[in-house]
Amino acid sequence: MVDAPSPARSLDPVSRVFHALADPTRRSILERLAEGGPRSIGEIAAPFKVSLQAISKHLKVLERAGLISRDVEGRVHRCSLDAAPMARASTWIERYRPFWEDQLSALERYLDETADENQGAEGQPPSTRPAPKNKNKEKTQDKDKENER
Amino acid sequence: MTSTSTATTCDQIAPDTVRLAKRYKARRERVWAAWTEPERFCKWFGSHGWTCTGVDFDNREGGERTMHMANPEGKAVRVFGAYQEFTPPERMVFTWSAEGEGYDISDSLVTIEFIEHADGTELRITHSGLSTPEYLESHRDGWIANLDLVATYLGKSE
Repeated sequence: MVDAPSPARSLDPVSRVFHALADPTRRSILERLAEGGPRSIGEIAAPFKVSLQAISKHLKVLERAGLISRDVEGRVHRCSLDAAPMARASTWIERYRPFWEDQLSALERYLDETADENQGAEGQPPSTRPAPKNKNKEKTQDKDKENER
Repeated sequence: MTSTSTATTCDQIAPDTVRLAKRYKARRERVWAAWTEPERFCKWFGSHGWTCTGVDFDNREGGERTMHMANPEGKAVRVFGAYQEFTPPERMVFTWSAEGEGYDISDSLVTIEFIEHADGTELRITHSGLSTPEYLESHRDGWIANLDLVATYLGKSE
């Protein structure tokens, strides 16, 4: 499989962290940095079978995600772990979990309220409904839409 | 009043993935319609201060799916993406990118399963932080085994 260069994407900070954590080599690197203090690139690369260049690329991804910081002393680069972005990324779940819980409760209320409706959607196949102009496209009429909540 | 569902269960199954499940005493086709028909969808989606001001659903695999929302403070949050899978009335998968007010995320993945039971429908939502192939690959390598690792990092973050 050809290793295509990934398209330049400006990911938001949280996605950048998830992207950084998605690779097992990068997770290993973080684990080693978590155990000890700052390490040079050579020390970081030592236990891995991949090339120094490959490790360097991984370190750049980790750096862009804010998960490691680099200290340069002369020709020696030392990297250390900054776990704060991971803490921030984990709060992503904390935002979306209650959001989804609320939506699922709202769906329950809606289904209760409409339980007696004899609507066409109940089991009626789509082909028997009048076909809209664009077969699959469905859009709300948001300008004139009555708020029927 | 009959109770129509059990409580929502919720699991964080990876550092960036949450799964919720809820049972509804409604037939699967009705629950599916509530998710896919814009007029129905906007009657319930967006609650507890959120509002859904408009949606645009191209209900097919590859079709775009956009929602215009306002958060409890009235600030706009646009959610957009595309269906990766669309299998009525049992399963849909779509990407979810959100812009605005602290809910920013690029290309997260929402999987919704509609499971039929004798007494109704079980809805299962899995929301994952990433949808790229390498992410899905990393899931197969066992994210869950790394949860302790992440906890260690978080413990060292101060």
